[in-house]
This record gives sequence, C-alpha cells and structure tokens, in this order.
Amino acid sequence: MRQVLTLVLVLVTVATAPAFAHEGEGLAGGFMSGLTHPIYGLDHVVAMVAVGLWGAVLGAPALWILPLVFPLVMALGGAMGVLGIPMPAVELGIAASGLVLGLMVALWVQAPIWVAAVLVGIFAVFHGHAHGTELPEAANAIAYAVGFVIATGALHIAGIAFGALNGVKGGSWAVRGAGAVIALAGAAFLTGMA
Amino acid sequence: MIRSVSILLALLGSGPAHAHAFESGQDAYELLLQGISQPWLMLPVAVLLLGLGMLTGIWRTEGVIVVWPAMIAGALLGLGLGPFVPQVEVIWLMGLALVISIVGIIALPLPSLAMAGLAALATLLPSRFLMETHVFGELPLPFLIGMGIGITTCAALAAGVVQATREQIGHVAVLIGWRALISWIGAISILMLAFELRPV
Repeated sequence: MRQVLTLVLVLVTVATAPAFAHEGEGLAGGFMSGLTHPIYGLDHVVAMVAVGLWGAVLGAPALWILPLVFPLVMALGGAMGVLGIPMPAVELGIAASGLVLGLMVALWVQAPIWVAAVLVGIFAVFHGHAHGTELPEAANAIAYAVGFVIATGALHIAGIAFGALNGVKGGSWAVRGAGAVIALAGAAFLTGMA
Repeated sequence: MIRSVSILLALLGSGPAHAHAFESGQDAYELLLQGISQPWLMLPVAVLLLGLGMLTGIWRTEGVIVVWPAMIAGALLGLGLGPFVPQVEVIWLMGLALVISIVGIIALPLPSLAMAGLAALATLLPSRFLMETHVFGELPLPFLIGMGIGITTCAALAAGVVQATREQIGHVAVLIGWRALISWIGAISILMLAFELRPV
C-alpha cells in the first residue's frame, strides 16, 4: 500500500505543470518583464530596429532625433494603455509600422526630418499602447517601465549599429536588404501570415 | 503538552526581529551604508537623481562643480524638514524627472542660478520622500548622513560619467548620445506617472 502511495505521489509530481507564481514579481521580476516584453514580440522588434535603420539612412540629425522621438511618444502611448484609454486598430498600426518603415529603408526614402518624426511618432503610439495594456498584473510597474524603455532603446541602437554599414563599400545594400526583410515581415503580420 | 508550553514560552520570550528595520545596522558604519543605499533602492528616486546628473553634465562639461553645493543644500533641507512638512508623492518626483528630461533633450542653456535651483529642488524632493513618515529624531544620525551622501553622489556620479565621456572622447556624438539617453528618463517618467495615476 505504501509503495503504491509513493508511486502515485511521484506520478502526480511528475505530471504537474511548472508553477509561475512568482514570475514578474518584485523589482527584478518587473524589470525583466519590461526588458523582455518588447523583445519577445517580433512585430515590435522589426519596427524598432527599422527606426534605427531609417535614422542611419537619413543621417544626422534624424539619426538621433528618431530614436529620441520613438521611446518618448511610445511612453505616451503606453500611458494611454495603462490608464485604459481605448485606441482603435492597435494591432493593425503595429503591423503597418514594420511594412512602412521597412519600405522607407529598402527604398532609401530621404523624407524631411519632420515627416520622418511624425511618421515614427504615430507608429510609436500604437506600439506603446499595446505594451501598456499588456502590462503583466504581477509585475512591479516602475521596474517594468525602466526595463521596457531600455529594451526599446537598445533595439534602436541595434538598428543604428547595423545602419553604420552604410559607410562601408556595398554596405548600403545590406541596409536596404535589412529594410526589405523588415517590410516583408510587416506585410506578413498585416496579412495574418505571421 | 509540556513541549507545546515550552515552545509557547520560548516564542513569548523572544525579542523583536529587526531584519528589515532601519535599526538593523549594529554600528554607525553599517547605518551609514544603509543610508547611502536608500536612494539606489527606490527606483523613482534613482531615476530622478540620475536624470539630474545627466542634465548637469549636458548643461556644462564641468556643471557638477557649479551645482554640487546646491545639491547638498537641497538634500540637507529635505532631510531636515522631513518630519515637519507634508510627504512627497512619487508623482512629484516623476513630474520633476520629466521636466529635467525635457530640459536635457533640448539642452536648454539655463543660467547658473536657475540650474542650481533645479538641482536643489531635485535633491530636496527625494530626500523628503525618503524620510517617509519618520518623526524628528527617529532615524539615527549616521543613517541620515548616509542618505545625504547617497542622494548627492547618485546625481554627481551620473554627472561625472557624462563629463568624463565628453572630455575624453570629445566627439559631438557623445553629447547627442547623452541627450538621447536623457530622453529615456522622460519616457520612464511618463510611464511611471501613468502607473501612479491609473485607476485601481
């Protein structure tokens, strides 16, 4: 009888699903949630890298204005999401951002700085709103905000770093290629293929 | 029965646990270290002070030399007034951090007096915030001194890093990079404000 009981206990233990009771809790948990949230969503990643790439394509001052505009306006969108202010077509806007920004890079569009800033700012609101509404309940909100902004900025820097290939012979084609891949990914998100 | 009674007696006879109380430091040095760590452990305070430091370095390469006395004065005032004035809320800290971020992004050439005033306010509010509800004389002096050191060095450290990178590298991109980085302080502040103001 005792052996049977032991066997049952072992089987029950093996069959249990992992417990996530403390995931996202506390300072470290909140920070990690914020840090990983933008990175786990491919639709967010491609758009944020595209912002950095387009900044590199446009050169100074867009190189630093675009990555400066995006986190600030995204935070405003995030605040709207946190405060429960509704916004239409958020997912559509996010998917469109990958397509549009990718095309801007692939086609080497030299838009005036204000046009680029407004366009990037509009897309940033959609991304921020999605992050704000998806805030994990258990996460430490303040630590989440810190991680979330750092991850976004890091993705822009990754885009700018890749865009630096522009200064190398043939590098502009690599940058255009990256833009084309991002545009294709955006199209896939937009059509529901990904 | 005897075992239960003896356990109960042992429990009743035990002293209070001070594991997480302010008094946990056994000597003045430990209290000082605890005080120094306070601004770093409170994220809203750390964000505001790091933002102030960045702004100081963006404002002038050697800006920290000009505004450090104001930072110390603000911290001392906040720690001294703590028990006598209303408590400071997180939204005040984040609102000021947002203002500091905007001033830094546009690299506003503030007069020295205005910059010193901003620095004093940005150390006064966090020091009052850290005092929480403690009454006068409740916190030990080494702990208070530690908090003052922690508050001013948090900002001065960030200012020093900005100054060092500007002086050592010297390229115009360094200043642009810091202006972009201080915009992150603004973004964090906006989100923190939203978290504080969201309906529960």
